[in-house]
Amino acid sequence: MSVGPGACSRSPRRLRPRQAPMLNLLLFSVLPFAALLGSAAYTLVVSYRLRDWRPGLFVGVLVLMAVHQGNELFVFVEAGPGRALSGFGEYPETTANLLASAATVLLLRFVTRERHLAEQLQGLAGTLEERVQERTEELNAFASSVSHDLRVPLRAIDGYTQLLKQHHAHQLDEEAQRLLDVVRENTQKMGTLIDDLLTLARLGRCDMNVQPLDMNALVQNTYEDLGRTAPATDSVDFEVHSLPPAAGDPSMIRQVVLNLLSNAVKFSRNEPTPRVEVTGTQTDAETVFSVRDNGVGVDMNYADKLFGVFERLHDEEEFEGTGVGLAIVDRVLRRHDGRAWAESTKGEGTTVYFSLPHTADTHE
Amino acid sequence: MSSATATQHVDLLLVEDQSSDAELALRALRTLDLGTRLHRIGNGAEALDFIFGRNAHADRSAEAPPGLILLDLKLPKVSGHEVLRALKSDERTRQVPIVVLSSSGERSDVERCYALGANSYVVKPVDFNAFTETVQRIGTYWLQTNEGAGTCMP
Repeated sequence: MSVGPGACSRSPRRLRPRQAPMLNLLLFSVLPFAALLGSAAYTLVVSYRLRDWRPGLFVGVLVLMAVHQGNELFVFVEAGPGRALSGFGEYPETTANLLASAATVLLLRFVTRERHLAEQLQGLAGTLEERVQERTEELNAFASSVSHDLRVPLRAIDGYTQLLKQHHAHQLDEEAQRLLDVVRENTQKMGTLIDDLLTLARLGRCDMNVQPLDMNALVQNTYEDLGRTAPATDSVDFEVHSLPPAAGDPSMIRQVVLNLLSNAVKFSRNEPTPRVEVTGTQTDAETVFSVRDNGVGVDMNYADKLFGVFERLHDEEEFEGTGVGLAIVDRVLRRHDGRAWAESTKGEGTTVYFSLPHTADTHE
Repeated sequence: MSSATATQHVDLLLVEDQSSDAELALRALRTLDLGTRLHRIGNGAEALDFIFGRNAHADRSAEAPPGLILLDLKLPKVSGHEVLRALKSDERTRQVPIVVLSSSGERSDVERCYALGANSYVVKPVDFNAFTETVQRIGTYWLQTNEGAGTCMP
């Protein structure tokens, strides 16, 4: 930074009213760029009153810039109204001058703050991600621990109720026996609920092993497995159209298919001719599968609740269930960057769709 | 079938802190009528003392280790994992079959137990009938079908 000829004399050359603000702006417009180019910016606030040690300030700035060459030093000089900042001389307190000074200061502040905020934000986002990860793991570990601990008293309730029934049956009348059956039924329900919750928690944190999937085989095998526990499958007219291949974690996608098929069978079991149909199509970006039934259907006014945990849209007396099945479906698909949605008409059946994005594995 | 007295040889040691689980398991085993001596201990530290015959169980120091150990994982003081590690890293007890009987079916728990040398890992069912059947199957297999190292007479 060269100092004007007048700056050496005791009385600096007075600039014309328009010159000073322009020079002032010019000088300060360099600094924000210096700040922008660096990856980190230090802010050095220099005294408000510059007038008396102006030459020293500039030498200082130059020295600091040299020392911090490439080290992203940003010198922020606070300009006071009516003060010469550039070493080019004093200039009168005109409105234009005041505005120019204010503008440079504001610009500098803005740039510094933006930069600072951006860096802070970046740091926070990183920390936040770590925290969320930590908390999620903690929460899942907590859920699984709680679920395991809940099983102990549940087993005791079930066990002792059974012992009472088996070994003291002669002391219990019919009503007492019925009451014990109700206790039993409910412990079993709670057992299922805990199992489902555990599955949900596990699916949220276990490692995924994405690989090519033969969806035809997967759907057929899963349906056969379902048949072993759900006798209602015997009367279902089950049809799988030729399914395109997909990519995903085999056990997780199997769980999705199992939940959807089991829902389809459950909600159509009261139909005279229950029908479950599985189809699949490939689009440019994803493969979409659907499981359709001709069952009881759901009220689409509550569609937003369909994939929530513990959300049930049917009475317990009518259709048993814990309300976790579709939440599991949703979680698995979200972990696969896919999605799940449903269409239904009350009384005419439901179609649940799920999509898996194409990956390098899809066509293998 | 009887519970062992303090200094008798024990055929099956159940390490389980929950008294209800322990009672249900012992009941299931007793109805099998295998003629084996059962003993239950409620925490990991005492289980190790009992097996190695030390501290409060010093009078058992000459006693051979139990023929089978059913081990819960969530135990006060010394956890099931630690008991497993201690037993499987000691020459005197390495050959004793240990069946982990846990409420947890977490993959990490299962893998860790096998890494520590567990002979079997069984998840306790919540359903009473299933639980009884499971425990009985364990008892029949390990006490009758299986030929243990300790039972082979020279």
